[in-house]
Amino acid sequence: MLEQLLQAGVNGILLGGVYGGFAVGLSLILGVLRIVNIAHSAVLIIGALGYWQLVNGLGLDPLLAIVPIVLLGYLLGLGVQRGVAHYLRRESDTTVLLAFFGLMVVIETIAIIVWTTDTKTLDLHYLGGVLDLGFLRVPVARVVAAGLSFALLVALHLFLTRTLTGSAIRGLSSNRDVAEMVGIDGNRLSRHVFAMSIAFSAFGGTALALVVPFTPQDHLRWLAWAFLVVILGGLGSALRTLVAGVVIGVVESVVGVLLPFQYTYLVLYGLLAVVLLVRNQGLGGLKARSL
Amino acid sequence: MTATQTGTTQRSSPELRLEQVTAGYFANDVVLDQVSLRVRPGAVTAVLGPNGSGKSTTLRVLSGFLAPRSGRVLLGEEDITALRVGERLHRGVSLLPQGRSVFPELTVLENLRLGAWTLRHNRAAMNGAVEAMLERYPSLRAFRDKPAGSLSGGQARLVEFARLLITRPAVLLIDEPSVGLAPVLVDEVYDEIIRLKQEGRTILLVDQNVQAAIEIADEVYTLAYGRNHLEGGRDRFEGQLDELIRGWLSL
Repeated sequence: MLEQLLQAGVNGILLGGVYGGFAVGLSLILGVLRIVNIAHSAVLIIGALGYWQLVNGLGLDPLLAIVPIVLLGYLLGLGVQRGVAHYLRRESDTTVLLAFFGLMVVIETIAIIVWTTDTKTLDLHYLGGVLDLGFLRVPVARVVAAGLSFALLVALHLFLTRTLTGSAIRGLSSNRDVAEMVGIDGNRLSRHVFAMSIAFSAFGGTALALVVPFTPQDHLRWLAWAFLVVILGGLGSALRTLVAGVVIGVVESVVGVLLPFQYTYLVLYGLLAVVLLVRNQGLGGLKARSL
Repeated sequence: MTATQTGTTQRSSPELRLEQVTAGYFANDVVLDQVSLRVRPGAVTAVLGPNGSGKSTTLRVLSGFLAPRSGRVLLGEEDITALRVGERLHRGVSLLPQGRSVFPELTVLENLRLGAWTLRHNRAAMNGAVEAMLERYPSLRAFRDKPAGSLSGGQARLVEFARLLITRPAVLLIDEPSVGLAPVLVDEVYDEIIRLKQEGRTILLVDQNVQAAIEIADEVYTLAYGRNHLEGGRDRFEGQLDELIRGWLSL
């Protein structure tokens, strides 16, 4: 039993790293730009499908193939910001939500037309093995996906807290008028924050594809998961998103060992309710309102 | 260029003018109706008026947050009407907005560095500018690594003054400097504005605190219903404050 729990704990930490990686884009857009990007999971799926195409279709190295997906995510983000989000910046939250819902439907439909609804499993090449540590067995792909997520989230945290541009993004999140008053070009910075968030979401798709099989249609489940991470972690902080992802991953894995699997959601949403009641704004408390 | 008390220098100051500006926030409203005013270099110009007379809108037009429907904003000979906030800051027009305007989650140092955002391509200049402000307001040094949101009202105001001055602007636009402050801090704020005046800076002061503003001002404009009402030197208004305020109450 103890071994089983330990195994579940390690699995949970790794899975949690992946959850953090695929939720941080949502957190960033919500925290800085105040946009509820309901199309977030559709971007995850497009990232996962594009990645699958490069690795399974073109035979690219599964580690190298992440790079073009993230870059394409950034470009897609720039395009969506210019083509959609920019025009919605003075609209009500409901209008923005509806517009992004529409975007989600469009992306999902395109994904189904191009890739069909068949379940996709990534060809892991040399990442397909299992690390055998005696009492622990961990799939290599899961370690890689979690490791990359951890590294990217820590890098994002350092970027936001240690650089002048990071300060400007946090300033923009806190008070856009004052940010513009000191000379920050709010529109330009918003465009890049949006693109960066979409690039992170595209990365999240690749991390997901490394860990689980997927279809274009099951992204709504991941959307619920991403919102769970963001609400638990509070807005816009990379480190808190990571911690929230790990908490959810561990709870999910450990509960899976202790209780029948149908209790997992009940426990997770119960945990969420308790955190919200006690801490008001997620794990970070009230300060987590912005970055 | 004028030497200031701290040894830093400010840019030589051109005149800032509003010419026949009409402006509003929605399609049909007219908050400012053909308003004109001059902010003379090296002097304090006060814009006074009752609530809703268009004082803050005047500042929004001057700072570039609101584009006028007609009329011009001129800095020296240059027409800056179409320039955005950041571009005006580059030309030396800096705003101290009404109320608390620090970034609360950012440290004092981060607030100051963002204040010097326009110097970001020259880090040595940026660090020098931050250091100059810490010299000017030495009490901030102890708080430099604290989140600005944890400061008292007076300390936060100092951060805002430092941020206003950090790029050595030629023209300072100051909006309702004492609003929301504890009465004990109000005098300190006006003392700081007097210090800025003594340094020979060009200041446009929009204020509801009529008495304090007129004491500092060299020239005074009053607005009523979004139009120019009275204008003149301080002596024209001194001793007539009661009459002025009574007039506003009956408007």
